Parts: sequence; structure tokens; C-alpha cells
Amino acid sequence: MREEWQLVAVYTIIVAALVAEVIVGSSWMTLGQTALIGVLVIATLQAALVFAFFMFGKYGTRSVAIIMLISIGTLLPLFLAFAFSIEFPPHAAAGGH
Amino acid sequence: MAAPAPSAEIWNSLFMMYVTSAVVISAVVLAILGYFVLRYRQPSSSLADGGQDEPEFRIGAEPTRGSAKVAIALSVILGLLFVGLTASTFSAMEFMEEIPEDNPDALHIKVTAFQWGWQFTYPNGRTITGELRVPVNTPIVLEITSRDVFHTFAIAAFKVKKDAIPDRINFAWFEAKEAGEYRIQCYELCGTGHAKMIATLLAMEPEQFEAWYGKLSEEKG
Amino acid sequence: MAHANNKPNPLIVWLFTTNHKNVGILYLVTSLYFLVVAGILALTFRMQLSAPNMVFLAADSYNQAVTLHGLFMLLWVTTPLAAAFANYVIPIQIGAKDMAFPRLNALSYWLYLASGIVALSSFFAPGGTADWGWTTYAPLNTLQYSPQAGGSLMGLAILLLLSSTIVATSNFMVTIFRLRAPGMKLSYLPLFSIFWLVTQFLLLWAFPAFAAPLLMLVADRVLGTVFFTAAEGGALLWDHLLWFFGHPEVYILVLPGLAIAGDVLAVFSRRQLYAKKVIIIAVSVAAFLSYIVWVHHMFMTGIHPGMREVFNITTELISIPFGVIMLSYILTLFRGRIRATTPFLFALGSVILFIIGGASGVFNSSVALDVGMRGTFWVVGHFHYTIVGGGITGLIAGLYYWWPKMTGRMFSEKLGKLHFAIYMIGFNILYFPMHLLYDMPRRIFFYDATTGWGPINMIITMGSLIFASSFIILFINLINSLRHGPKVGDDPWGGANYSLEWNVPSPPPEFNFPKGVPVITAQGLVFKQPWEIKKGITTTGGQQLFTTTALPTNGGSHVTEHGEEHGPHLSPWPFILSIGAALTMIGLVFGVPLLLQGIVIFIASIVGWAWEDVKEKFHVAIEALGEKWPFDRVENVPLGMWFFLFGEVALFGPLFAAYFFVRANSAFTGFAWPLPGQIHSTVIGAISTIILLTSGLAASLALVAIKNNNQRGLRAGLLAAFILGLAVLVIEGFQWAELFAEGYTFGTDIAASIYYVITGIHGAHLLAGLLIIIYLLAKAYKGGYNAEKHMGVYAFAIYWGFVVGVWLFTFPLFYLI
Repeated sequence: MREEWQLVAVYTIIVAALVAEVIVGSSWMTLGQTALIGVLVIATLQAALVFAFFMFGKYGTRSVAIIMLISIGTLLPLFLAFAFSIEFPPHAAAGGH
Repeated sequence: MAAPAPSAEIWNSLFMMYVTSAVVISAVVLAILGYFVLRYRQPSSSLADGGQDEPEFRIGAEPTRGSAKVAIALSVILGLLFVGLTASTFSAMEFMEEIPEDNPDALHIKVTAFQWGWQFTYPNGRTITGELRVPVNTPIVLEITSRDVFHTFAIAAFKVKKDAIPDRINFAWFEAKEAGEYRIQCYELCGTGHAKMIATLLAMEPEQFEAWYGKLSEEKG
Repeated sequence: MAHANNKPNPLIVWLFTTNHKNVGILYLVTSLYFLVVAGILALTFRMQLSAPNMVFLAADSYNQAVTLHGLFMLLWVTTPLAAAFANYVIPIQIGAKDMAFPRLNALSYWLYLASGIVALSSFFAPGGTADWGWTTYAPLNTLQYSPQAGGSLMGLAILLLLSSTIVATSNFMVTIFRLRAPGMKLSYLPLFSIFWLVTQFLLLWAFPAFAAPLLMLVADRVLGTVFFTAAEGGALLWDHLLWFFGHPEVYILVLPGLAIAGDVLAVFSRRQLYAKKVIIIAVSVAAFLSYIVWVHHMFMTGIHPGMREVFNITTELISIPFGVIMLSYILTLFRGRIRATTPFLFALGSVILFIIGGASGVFNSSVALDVGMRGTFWVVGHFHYTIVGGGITGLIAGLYYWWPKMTGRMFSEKLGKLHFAIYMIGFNILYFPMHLLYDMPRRIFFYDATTGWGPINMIITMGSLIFASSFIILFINLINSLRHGPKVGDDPWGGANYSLEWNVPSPPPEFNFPKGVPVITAQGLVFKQPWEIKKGITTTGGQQLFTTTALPTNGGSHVTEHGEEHGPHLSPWPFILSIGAALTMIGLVFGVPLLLQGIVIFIASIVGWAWEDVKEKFHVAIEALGEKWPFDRVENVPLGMWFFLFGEVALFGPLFAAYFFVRANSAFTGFAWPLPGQIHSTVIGAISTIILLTSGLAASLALVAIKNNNQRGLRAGLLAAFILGLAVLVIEGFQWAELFAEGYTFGTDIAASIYYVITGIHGAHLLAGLLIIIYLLAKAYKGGYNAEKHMGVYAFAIYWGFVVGVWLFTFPLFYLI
């Protein structure tokens, strides 16, 4: 039964994190940017728990976890490139026209 | 051949630098390859006894041939070459992209691409379609955008090129050294009229330009 | 390759086959057919360009021809041609008797063919097909500027192709990682298998990343979302996502051909590859770099100059690993005993042309030179040298190299050499002069005489005719060989010591290794009988290999674990499913009746497939007993699911990146992104999240139960997961209905578009998961699972966890912040 209880415990933690997430997210008026970051951090932690336990990532070989990390890693440059393409218009100095 | 604009001049010399290194390197490499093939080629009849001459490879044997030092040496040589090429590229880029927006002599012109043609709006607010008249020896700053789809603004002879993208403004600049007619053309497929999306760049002597521009400003519109 | 004592109709064999060699031949024939189609399209527009003021094709036909040529050559010709060889020889090269999932292998072929037919049929749709160039730049690709239905159909065809690819990729990954012969380490494999594995990693992350913008495009065109018309998304959203896929795609096209070139150079010079390990490292580095160079296609878009400099440098770095590979190939020949056969000549041609293409590629990395090059024929010349010169030429080397293996007959060396001579002459007359046209824009159908481009274009068109005619010689040679070619033995080239496929008959029997199981020992290749392996043998590493319950492998006879014979492994469902998928795609554009027929066939075939499984009617013991590093502890089915999910990361990731981009842009365009709780109720979102989490828990508990052989626990867990998952889907459906009733639809604004697309795709995953649960429950009630056998449940638990994980990001992004 050990494994079952472990899963239930993880489930409880994720739900608790969800509650925390909703509280942090709902106070964006006071927290501002922090709420945004807080919510994304909590979501990432939840997803990591889901990967390790619900997806049994921790029972797989390390290779699975590594490739999962690389899969997510390939997306990083995409986010960065998008971030650097947002400037509107591209030249700050010329923006005044 | 004298370049009609400073941007083209810089581009040409950078291009020659790349051509020289590319031709030299690939010529050497291909010569070695050609030599090996001719030197070590067996008579064509020898395929029949293919089984008899013992090859060096064997399934399941650890690769024993070759040294990583060769690869490292090659990487270093290529890397050094690229440092040189990149440095020249970046200095050319700096020149091409240093928009002289604060230069009081600069003429600012808004370029609007549309299916299928080009509109040029002068500081006096007048808009002309299909023809861009500029004075020589004057920096021209272009604010390029598009009214519909993705186009690319280019003056091939000057090596000036920038994408014209709806809802965005891109900047480019050039300076004509010689009076004359040049071709402005679209370089991104933009529909059936793409091939004919051409405008004329007319680089004029400053006095002539002033006369024309003065008349343009007076016209009622 | 049908079973001797139970020969079914050959047509049935070809339609229902799941044998990797048959699938390989299907791929070969189909991709060569598409090569001819796309080649003829190229000839038509070369005609149009041959002289100034030419009147041969009208502008819209020209644009369609250019678009279809590009899309077909990239998606339906080059990679599938490589896949033909991969299907045929890689299972043999690694020492397996088939792919890990034979039916999925057949499915990827039939989906590929179906997508190709849908794509070709788009040509005949009213208004023609896509005419925006293969790069499909936004917003020319939207309905406003390209209203023809054929454009939407083309988008759907590509999506179908991408689904074929992800299936094939997962399959190849599991096959190469887990079905290798005893003692066959990854580094012992020939370059073709190794590069193909690297290519699979590229496909795994690049193709789903292309599916993301395509889904948005199809949603724009079919549902009316506004991704590529809104200022927040628009041209740059498409550009980044396209090229993020587009650059790895270049290496996907080139690597298999280059790998064949390397293998062929080694075999025909009788020497080891020079520094094979360095080559393997170099190709991995190149693959890694291919994900961080795509912005060099966007140097003119006005994005951040610092970013352009970074991508200038990363692009230059690319030429270092490729330089190392080329040099190693050349050094391979040093002191060789070279047989200049046709395959060798084409391998040589591939290296020569790729070196030239690589040299011109260095120019394109320069952010300053690109001002001149971008959008001109220089670029066209460059990428044809690399993709056709390096890639296709290598694949043709492979065609000649493996032809005797696949057919058992030799071709004419004389005609082969003639083909090579004309091919090289035509190629260089065709593509080299393009570099001189570095001022001429691509994709213009017309130019006037004042440009001075006429004479060079005439030379290029001549070259294209010479180049095309060389292929006629190829086909004559091959057809002649089929009918009159002299028979060959196992090893016509002297490659038996190089790779396994030259140690089996030509063509190989159904399960490849009639002499026994190939085993790689310190003494080299030996063949053992399955029972010898069961007793345990030692390999080069010295460790005991098989101690657990071993399934018998290929011993020439097809004996299952219970010892009974089974017929040829045929299944009708991959074929039928693909018909359903194709009809569904066509129906999405041409109306409900076709759509319904398609969906009915699609669902019926899934049911049929699942039933085949529940009844265990399709059974081929593919399990090999050999090397499984680095996935020794993950069984085939879960590993296949893992690889599928790695691809899914590359689908959802770009979707979330698009969310980030349009939302950040809205701050600049003045679009007011809806405040939290304004559109979507946070409470309902949170409740859905909790229900879905509980469903995930139930699925995990079901797996734990069956691991302990608890049948009731398994059924209860699956049932709970099903009901809770269904509840989430129903809540989602009600929310959509409510929003629609309020007039908040797909096209309301960019925020609505991204909401509907992400939750819609997530909902489709939920639905698919529910269907899987039905299958699992059916099998569970028949007692199909026990403590040893429950990999289907395991794979589902992983999948369901992933669906929950994606929702954990979807919820806050739309309901909370």
C-alpha cells in the first residue's frame, strides 16, 4: 500500500499548491508582477510533481528525464527570440515619430 | 566598378572577402579529395574479387582509425577564420544599420508597401506612388511598413533591404552617390503581382531635387 | 515476402502489410513518384523563367507550382525517400526482425500517402492550391489574401503528414534504442543508422513545432480565429514558428543522404571511417546547433540587432561540425582501395556538392551580406546545393547501393555511370549560375529584358532539362534491372564486414536472419540459435546477457512464444484508418457529408484496431534480446509513449510561446487583454483542475493496482479516471457553449483565438485519452492485464499525466492571470 499512499500524498500537495496558486493569482492587484511569477513557479512545481509521480518519471531511467528536460530546453530559445521581437517599434529612439 | 552608394561599396568588399575565403578553402579541400580518388582508385575489374581483399572494418570492432586532433585543429582553423569574417561583418552591419536619424540633413521618408506597389510619403506630407525621388549625397532614412501582407523593400544596386511588415515599422537608410535611375523591387512573395511590384528610385542632383520638391509642396492636394 | 504455405492475394499483402521491408518499398515507390511530380512542376516554372517577358505560366499558376514544388520536395520526397531506406535496412542493420511497432509503421506510411494525395488533390480545388510559397508567410496565407479552399486543404494535408511523422519517429526511436542485436552497441552501427537516429531527434522536436503554427493557420482559415491577421500575432508569429521548425528541417533533409555517402565511401574504399566517433559527436553538435540558428532567416525583419549578432555567430558555428564531417569523409579515402562503382560516385558527388553548398552557406550567416542575399536566387542556389546536392545525391547513392539488396538483382554499371555524369553536369549547370543572380528576387514569374537576367536564366533552364533527363536514365536502369538484371548473392559490394544487411540473402526473408540471431562478440559477428541465447552468452562487455524470461527471436521460422506458427503479419487497419483520416481532412474543407464519412471510417478503424488487440489477433514477437542502452528499464510501449510525449512538448511549447508573444505584444498594440475572471470564471477553472488532477490520480492508482495483480483496483481506477476525465470535458464544453452564446467566439479577438485553440487541442487530447481508457477497460474486463503484462496501462498513465500537466499551465494562463 506504500505506493498508493505516496500517490495520494502527492495529490494532496498538488491540490494544496493549487489553492495557493489561486490565492496568489487572485491578489494580482496588490502583488503585480510577483503574482505572475508566483503562479508560474507554482504551476511548474506542480508539473514537476506530476512528471515524477503520476507519470512515473522517477521509475524510468534517468535518460527519460534527461530527454524530457532537453525537449523543454529546445523551447527556451523560442521564448527568448519572441521576447526580443516584441519591441514596438524596433528602435526606441525613433519611436517618437 | 564603382558602387553607386556607400552601403553597396561596403557590401561589395565584404562579399569579395567571403568569396576569396570560400573559393580558396573549397578549392583546397576539393583538390585533396580529387587527388585521393585518383591516387587510390583500383581498376574497375577488381569489384569481382570484392570478397578477397580484406577490408579494414569489422562489425562490432571499436573504431580505431583517425585522431580527434585533426578535428580539433580543423575547428580551430575554421574558428579563427570566422572570427575574422564575423568582425568584418559586424563592422559592416554597424555602418548599414546606424540610422542617421539625428543628422539634420537627413531626409525622412515613409515607405508603405501594398499589393502591389510602393508609396513614398515625404516630410511635407505628400505621397507619391511608384517613384522615389531623392537628392544625391544626402542620407535618406526610410520608415518601412506594409498596408496588407509581408513585403520586402529592396534597392538591389545599393544593397539596401528591409522587410515591410504590416503593423510594424522597420528602418533603413541609404545615400546615393551617383545621380541616376535605380530599381526598387519586392523580394518576398506577396501574391500574383509580386513580380511587378517595382518602383523607380530617382537619385537627383540636389538643386534639381529642391526644385522638384518645392513644386511638390506647392501643389494643391 | 508472404508466408510460403499460406499465400494471400498480393494486393492484400501490399495494402495490409506491416513488414518493414514491404513498407520500405512502398515508401520508395511513393516518394519517387512524388519526386517526379515535383520535378515536373519545377520544369514548368523553369520554362517560364527561361527568358525575359516569357508567357508560359500565369502568375497564379506559377505561384502554385513554386509552392507545391517546395512543399513536396521538402515534406513528401526527401525525408520519405530516406525513410524508405531506413524502413528497409535499419531493422536489419541493428539486427532486429522488424520494427518495434509494425502496425504503427504501416500506419505512418498510409498516412503519408493519404496526406500526399490530399495535398495533390488541393491542386484541383476551385481556385487552385496554396500559392504563397512553401514558407507560407503570414498574412498572405490568410483567407483575406488567399481565399482558395485548396490552401486550407494543403494546410490540413501537411498536418496529416506531420502526424504520420510523429508516429514513425516514436517507432524508430524505440526500434533503434531497444531492438539491437546482442552486443550491438550504438557506436557499432553504420553511419546511416546513427544519423537516422539523430534525424529522429530533430524530427521529434521540429515537426510538432511546425504543427503548432499550422494548427493556428488552419484555425484561422477554417474556424475564423485571428492569429495571423491580428497585429499582436501576424507576420512575426508565423516567421518565428516556421523557421524554428525550418532550420532543423534542413538537417532532417540532409543528414540521411550524408550518412549514406559516408558509409558508401568507407565500404568502397575498404577502409574504416576516419574518426567515426568524432563524426558522431560532430553530427550531434550540428543537430543541437540547428535549434539555435533559425533567426538567420529573419535578419531583415527588424528584430533586435543584438539577437541578430548572436544568431550570426551560431550560424557560423554550424559549419565547424559539418567541416569536420566532410574532412573525415575525405580522409577516409586516404590509402584506400577505391572501387569507383555507381554508388561510390554518387557518394562522392554528394560530398563535393555539399562542400560547395556549405561554402556558399557561410555567406548567408553574415548578417551584413544577407542584406544582398535574402530573397534572391543566391539563396535558391545555396540550398539546392546542400539539400539536393548533399542530401538527394546521397540518397541516390543509397538507392544504387541497396538496390541489389532490395531486389536481388544488379543494375547496369554503365548506365549508372552515365547517369552520374549527366547528373553532375546538369546539376552544376542548373544550380551554379543561380549564385550569379544574387540580385534577382526569388519567386518572381516575370522579369523584363532591362534586368539583364535573361541569358543566365536560359542557361539554368537548359541545366534543368539536362538534370531532369538524367533521372530518365536512372528509371530505365532500375526497370531494366528488375527484369533482366543478373542475380546477386548476399554481398555484391563486399560490405559484409561493414554492416549486417550484407550478411543476409538478397532480398532478405520475412524475418531477415535465416541463419539465426546475429550476435556481436569480441570475435565479430556470429549467428546463434535462440535457445543458445536463452542459456546466456557473454558479449564483448563480458556480462551475462539474458537471465529473464526470453521471447524467442528470429530463427528463420516464425514461432511465437507458445510455439505455434502464425501467418504473415498483416493488418487492414492502418490502411483503412488512413482513408478515414484523408476523408476527414477533405471534409473539413468541402463539407459535412464527406467529413461524417471520414469520421465514421476513422472511428471504425480505431475500434477494429483496438479489437484486434483485445483479441490478440495480431501478434508478432519482435522482442529482441540484445542491447537496450540507455533504455534498459523502460519497456517498448511506454518508451514509445515517452517519445510521443517529447514530441507533444514541442507541440504545446510553441503554442504557449505564441500565447506569451501575443499577450506581450498586446501591451504595445493597445489591445486590452481580458482581466482575470473577466471572461473565464476562476472558480470553474479551479474545479476542473481538481477534477482532472483526481482523474490523474485514479489512473496512477490503477497502474499501481495492476502491478500488484489487483484486477478490481485496475478496473475501478480506470473507471474513475474515465468518469472524471469525461466530467472535465463536459465542463469545458459547457464553458465553450456559454461563451459562444455570449458572442465570444473564435474570431472575437486574439485572446479568444489563443484560448479556443489551446483548450481545444487540450480537449482533443482528453477525448483521445477517454477513448484509450475504453480500450483499456475492454481489455481489463477480458483479463488482458496482470502483474507481468500491463504496459498498455503504464503507457496510458504516462499519457494521462502529461494531459494533466499541460492543463496545470493552461489553467493559470487563462483563468488566473
